[in-house]
Amino acid sequence: MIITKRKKYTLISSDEDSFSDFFSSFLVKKNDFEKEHLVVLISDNIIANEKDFISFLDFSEKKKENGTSFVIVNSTINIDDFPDNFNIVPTIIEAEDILEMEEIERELEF
Amino acid sequence: MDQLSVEHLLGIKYLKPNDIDLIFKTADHFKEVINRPIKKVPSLRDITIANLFFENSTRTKLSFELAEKRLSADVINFSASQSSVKKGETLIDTVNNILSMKVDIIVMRHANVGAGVFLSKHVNAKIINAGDGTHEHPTQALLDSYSIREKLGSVKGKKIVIVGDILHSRVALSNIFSLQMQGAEVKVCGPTTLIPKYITSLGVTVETNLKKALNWCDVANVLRVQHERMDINYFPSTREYSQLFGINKEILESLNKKIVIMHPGPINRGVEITSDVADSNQSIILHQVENGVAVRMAVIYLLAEQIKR
Amino acid sequence: MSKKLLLNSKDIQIILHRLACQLIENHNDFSETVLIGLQPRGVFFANRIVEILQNEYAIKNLQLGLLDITFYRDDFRRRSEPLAATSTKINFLIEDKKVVIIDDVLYSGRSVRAALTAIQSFGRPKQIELLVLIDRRFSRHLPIQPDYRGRQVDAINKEKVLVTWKETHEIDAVYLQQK
Repeated sequence: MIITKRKKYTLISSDEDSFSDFFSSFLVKKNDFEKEHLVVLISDNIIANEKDFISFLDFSEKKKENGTSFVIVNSTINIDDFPDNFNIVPTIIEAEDILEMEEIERELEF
Repeated sequence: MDQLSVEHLLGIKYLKPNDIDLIFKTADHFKEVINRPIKKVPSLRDITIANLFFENSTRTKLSFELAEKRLSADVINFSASQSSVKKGETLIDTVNNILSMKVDIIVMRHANVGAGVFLSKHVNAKIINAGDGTHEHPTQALLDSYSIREKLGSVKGKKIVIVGDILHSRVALSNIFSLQMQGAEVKVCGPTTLIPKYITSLGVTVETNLKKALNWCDVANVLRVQHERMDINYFPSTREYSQLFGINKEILESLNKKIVIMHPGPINRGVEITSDVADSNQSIILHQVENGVAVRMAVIYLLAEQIKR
Repeated sequence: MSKKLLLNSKDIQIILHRLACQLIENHNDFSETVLIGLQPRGVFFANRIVEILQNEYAIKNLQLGLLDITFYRDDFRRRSEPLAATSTKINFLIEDKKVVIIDDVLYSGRSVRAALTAIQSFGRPKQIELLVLIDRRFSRHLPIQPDYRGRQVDAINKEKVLVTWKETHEIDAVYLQQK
């Protein structure tokens, strides 16, 4: 797992071969990112299904509660398969847009 | 001040009192226009407007469409309820595709709070917010205030109570900003579970007893009970709601004065108000609808004026 | 800014009477005719014509409307300052009626063109005539000419024709002003 600090968020990209390997690495480090906005990029090399992505749901809800954003990026997904409040998108640009939209929501005190 | 101080209409919170004044004076002229045999003026005949409604709406959309056509603008309608279009880049992409067809103004209703703000930073068009999630619905608040001004002469110094589901209502929030800016006193009334905690920090008082609230006010703006906005039951049943907060003829007649009744529509007859109240001469609900077209014409005209050739 | 007096209040009175008579010649008792003053300045002029028709010539039930043409102008979005509209009050039908548009100064003709379009929103008149106090003869941008004119003036572009009425400016007068 590769951690890159960007100006407005931290990008975590997978370099493992399987979802379970990536997820285990992630769980080890997850508490380091409490105060940061997080974008998790899961490469197409990894074969993963909705159930795998949904394992991030708990983490995603905790981050929403503490006022930080969390978005998963994977180009194989179909957005309609996921709940409305779970941020998962096909490209990094869209993830950045979600971060911006959530920032605006927070500024408007919502 | 003959121009708006803003470049988009994203929320009442971004307006100044002079803007509201200018919108109302302009709406007066358009109200006269829509009562003529031919209800059109050619002013916007070289302007194209896109209505982007990502959330369902019949009345607001129709009202905007009518306003746009009465100004002779060309109108494109775009509805999308697919969840994929709620995500960012797809929204910008969609809008830019529309803009490449030379669209000057976008009227947008979207489920995300701040969607209009987001869009205004990324696209080159004037944005009118027709409702963004539970945040603001500025043209509704403007037409509500305009209707009060028409009926009572002015908004300043008047007492308005907003009754119903305040928590989920963008109509309530926009109205609070608008009424306070014009010097009115605002109270909210509804089940405690439907009144947000922060409401008093906006300078608004809370009253949970309907009769007390109605006796206090000059105008009651009655909100619709919105089932589709509520994930869980915030009150036991519609029946209990109408018993505690429904407005009927008996309650109106028991008050110490004749108050004005408003409703943004559509009405759940028998729930938040009864038919005889909705159709009574104390109700200005139909005037709100007519005023909605005039006010929207005014907003569109004033924003279009800023688009130089 | 130098001002030259073109017409004093006596001249204007005489002109108003003559115009009223010309109108009566063509419109008799005005039962088939309506007058429409163009906002904002044509209104004072129209009111004075109406006053004379009613008081001196006993025309009864004269219909006078006020028309604001702001939303019909062809320079919307082309000016540096915004336009402020005034009110339109036309409380009668013009369907099949003879209309007389009344304005103080006829210059490029664009205001009258806008008025012609605006009037169509109120119905289809039998005929439309134009009555103006001052006709700036060679300043037209459009093929529009008055049917009744108070005085013809040959002003050049740098000059402005200024009309004042005693209701707002103490005396009736028409001036030629260097811009």
